[in-house]
Parts: sequence; structure tokens; C-alpha cells
Amino acid sequence: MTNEELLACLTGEFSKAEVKPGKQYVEIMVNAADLHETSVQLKNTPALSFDYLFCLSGVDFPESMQIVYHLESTHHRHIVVMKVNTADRLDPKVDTVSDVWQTAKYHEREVYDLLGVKFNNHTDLRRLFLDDTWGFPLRKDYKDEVRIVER
Amino acid sequence: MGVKSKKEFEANDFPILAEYEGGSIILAKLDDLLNWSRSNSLWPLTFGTRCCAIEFMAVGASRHDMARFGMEVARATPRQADMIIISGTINYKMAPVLKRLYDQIADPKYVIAMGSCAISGGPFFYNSYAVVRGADHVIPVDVYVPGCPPRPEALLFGMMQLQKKIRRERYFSRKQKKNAPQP
Amino acid sequence: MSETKEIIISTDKIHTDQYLVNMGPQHPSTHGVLRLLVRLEGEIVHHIQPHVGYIHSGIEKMCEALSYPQIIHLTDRMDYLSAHMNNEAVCLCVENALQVEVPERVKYIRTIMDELTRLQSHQLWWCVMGMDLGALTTFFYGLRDREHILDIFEETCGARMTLNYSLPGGVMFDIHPNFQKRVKDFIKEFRKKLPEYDQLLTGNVIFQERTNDIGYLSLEDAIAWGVTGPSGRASGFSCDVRKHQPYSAYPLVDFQEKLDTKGDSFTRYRLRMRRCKNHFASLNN
Repeated sequence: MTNEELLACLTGEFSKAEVKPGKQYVEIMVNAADLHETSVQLKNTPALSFDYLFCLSGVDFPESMQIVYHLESTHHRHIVVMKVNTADRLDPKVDTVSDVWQTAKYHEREVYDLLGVKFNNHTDLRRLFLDDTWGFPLRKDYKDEVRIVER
Repeated sequence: MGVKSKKEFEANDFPILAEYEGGSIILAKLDDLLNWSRSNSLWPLTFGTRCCAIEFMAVGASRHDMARFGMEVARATPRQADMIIISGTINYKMAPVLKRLYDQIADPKYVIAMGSCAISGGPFFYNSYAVVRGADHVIPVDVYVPGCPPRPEALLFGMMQLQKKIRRERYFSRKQKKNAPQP
Repeated sequence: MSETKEIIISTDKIHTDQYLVNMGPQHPSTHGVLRLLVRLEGEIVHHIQPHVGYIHSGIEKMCEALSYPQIIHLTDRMDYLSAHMNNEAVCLCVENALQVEVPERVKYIRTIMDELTRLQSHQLWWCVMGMDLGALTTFFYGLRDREHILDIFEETCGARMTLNYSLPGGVMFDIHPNFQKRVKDFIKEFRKKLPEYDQLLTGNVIFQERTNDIGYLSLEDAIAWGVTGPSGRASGFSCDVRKHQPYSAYPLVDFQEKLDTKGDSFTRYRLRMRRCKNHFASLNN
């Protein structure tokens, strides 16, 4: 599917979400409450069948944390970017998608480790790189007097 | 590692007392003999964390061939190794592991810090929250080999410096050797 | 007859338990630092719990305070075996964002350097894989030939591995006058070496025994876990970015994406490298 067709298809399919054409890929903005449902639908609708999650990232915005999912369909070869904002910046929570795309299991652990986003229903949410005693270093307001030499 | 010729002993100031068919008798201090054997069979521990580890492999391989100096036997376990070449970044999670490995090496043990990460944190000095700024915060280092990563030749030079250092050591006599090579 | 029966009963009574073995983080076969908590029963692996982060260095945090050309020096050290590709990824990203069009020549140079980098990385992988199986000869053979590529790199930009060659908007220097000749010579030489590699390792019975039907990964699993690269393609997952979203000079290059449904992606993959590199050399102006 080309981006225009995908845009039309997604707009028809997801009434609750906000779909817009991005610079490179089609973007779909989802409410945190609908995230899991939307993911299942994106994967299981035959015309879409986004079965390959190739990037999961967390972004620290002033008011909220944003989680960005890059999805590709290995069958149709189209790509969509799904974004979700969390309600709270300091104690962010979203549903996990690791039961939809297994690879999200580790990506979510990484986001939890570095940004402190908690994923509900995640089976094994532990820190990935750092010890349990650390703060969340990729947050913009992270301060570490001992370990960071600033320049 | 075998004894190749008489010259090797003469170079190490071991006077030859008598020569027989099939062997000869030399006079040597125990210190000198120990140092001679230690410095010529340094076995490194395979410990690599980053780019430097790849250059360490290159030193072990055909072109650079550290077997020429008796160091090719990279051991996987610290209990069989004589020295540890810290090739790469040490971060706060790795530091306790490095310390434990160092503790497990039998004395006498030596350390080469290879590359700027192991020397000072290198490219990760500023603004990084995870990297230890120099492996010498964790274990004592004998030789520093700068570079990012150092060329294999540089590592070879560093290893030869370590050999020189070992040849100056004294276990049984207090006096320093007069014409000991300066590192 | 009764005796054999007795023996069978007695082996049944032997009580076996699962046990935990800690592998790493300093383990010769992890090549890097990876710690695996392995639950074993005899030789059967029941469960593996990986622990990573032993070389986590917070590059993302550092990049917040750096300009784009400065980031290049850090991306080099992310994957030091394919340093040039990491650099190119950053460069393409910055160029895309700034809407900068790079000259044709730069695209070609980048693509050739990409492939050379990929080739030396595969050579190291090949020789080290042999070494882990106990075939130390492959280690010497692979690294011997890898030095030729490193020489080319060194002549081009002064560094052996961490190249720093690509910059947003172009490359650091033009290629050395000898570059074209040396790459062509290397390809000619390497083509002769490949059968030698095959003789050494590929047909080896021990190697076959230890790689065939071991570690099976289905297509569904490969997609679900996002296994890309040669491992994914060995499971039949068509995931070559150079084909699906071509960058630099890849649209102009004629090469095939090799897919397989089982196992050992190894020789096929290397053959493909060879072919596409061959093509580049003739393309280079």
C-alpha cells in the first residue's frame, strides 16, 4: 500500500485515533487507553497486518512521555508510526504491547530502564542496563553529581 | 618456549661456566632467572569489552603475531593468566567483575590499560553517566597504551615495556640491578 | 535377559535435576560482554536469561550535548566492526532532516566503504566462529585477509577500524589515488581465498554436526522477535534494508537478496557480498 492508501485505510479503520501524513511515514496518534486494542487491530486486520515492530522509542516531552512505535508489514511492505502520550510525566504508565509483538519485551524494558516508563501487564519488567538504585538517566532533568562530569 | 641459543643467556648476563656436549652450566641469580622466565611467557587473560578487543585479536593473529614474545597463550580463565589487558571501556556494571577477575589471577600479576577508555574514560569522559573514568580507579595498572583504539604495534610496544618492567623486579635481593634497562 | 531389565530400572532411578550455570560476562565465547544465566539439564538448555549492559556507556545522553559532526565520533564506537555504517546512518538522518542532497560521488564512496566494512566484519565473524568451535586455523586465515581491507581503510582515512570517514553532507576526504586499484586487487585475491575458506570449515564434519539443525528459528519467531540481518534471512525473513528502502548508491547496484529457510546463512551470504562488491568496483569512476 502506498502512503495515501494507507492514510485513507487507517482513517476509516480507527475513528478514535488521530491519523496524519508525516514527512516520511504515516503517523497515527493513539490515546493511552486504546493502545492495546489498536495494536491488536493493526496486527490482525488482514489489509494492514503490521507484524514487525522495528523500533520502539521513548521521548521525553515537557508535559508527558511519548512512546513511538515503528511498525512494518512484512507482507504488504508498508510502514506506520504509532505514537502514544502518557498522562503523567513523572510517573508515566502505558499498556504493554509485548504480547502483540514479542520483541517489545526487551524494548520496553529498555525504555523503563532509561526513561522510567512503566508498562502495565508486562511479564518481566526489570531494568535492562543499569542497577536498581539508579535514577532514569535519559530524562532531561536527570542530575548525577558523582558519575557525570559535565562540560 | 625453549632456549634457543647461548646468545640468549649471554644477553641476559648469565655467564657460562662450562660447556659439555648436550648442555652447559650457567651461573645466574635466582632473581634474574625468574624474571627471565616470567617476562618471556606472559599469558594474557582474554578480557575485551570494546574496539580495543578487536585490535587485541589482530595482535594475536598472523600479521602482528605476539607469539614472538611468548604472549600468544590467551587464557580464558584468570587462574591460568599472568596479566590482564583491559581492552575497552569499563562501566559501573563491569567494574566489580573486573575487580573480581583481577583478584582471581595468581600473583605476580600485571595489568595493561589499553586504549583511552581504559586510561581515562576517553571519548566517554564528559556527560556519560555509566563509564568509570579510568580502569585505574578499580585495579592498579602497570602500563598505559594510548590510542582509540591503539594500533597493534602500539600494544606490542606496551607489552615489551611490561617485559622490561618485569626484568627489573627483585624478590630475593634488595639491590637494584645496575645496568637494568630503563622502562 | 533379566539382567538387562535390571539395568534399565536402575537408570530410571538416577535422579537428574535442572541446574543453573552462569556464563559470562567475561567468557571467551561471548565476544563482548554478555552474561547468560542458563538452566540446564544435562546438555539440554531449558531456559536462558540474558543480562546485558556491561558496556553500556550512555552515548544517547552524551549526544544531547554534542553537535552532529561530533556525534560521528561516538557512533563509530557503538559497533566498532561496522563503524562506517553507523556513521552513515547518522549522516543520512541529518541530511534527511536538513534536506541536503549529497553528490553522486559521495554516494558511491560511501557504498563501497559500506561493503568493505561489512566484508571485514564478516571475516572477523567467520574466523571467530571457527575459533569457538576449536578450529584455530580459521582465526589466522580470516584475520590475515582482513588486514588487507584494514590497509585500504588506513590509506583512505588514516584509521583501521573507527573510521570517522562519513560526515553530514559528504565524506571527510576524497579517496586515495590507489583506492580503486587496491579494492580491485583485493576482490581478485579474495575470490581465490573463498574456496579455501570453504575447504577449511564449511565441509568439516564437526562443523556440520554442530551447526546443522541446531538453534532452529521459525519465520514467525524471526518476525515477532525482530531478528534481522543474515540470521533473519536464514529463516526466510526478507528484511534487507538495502533492497526495501535503498539508500546511497544501492538503488543502482544489481545484487540479489539471498533467502533461505534453514540454518547456516553463512556461505550464501558471503557469496552475495562478493558479487555486489565486484559490481561496485566496476561502477566506481
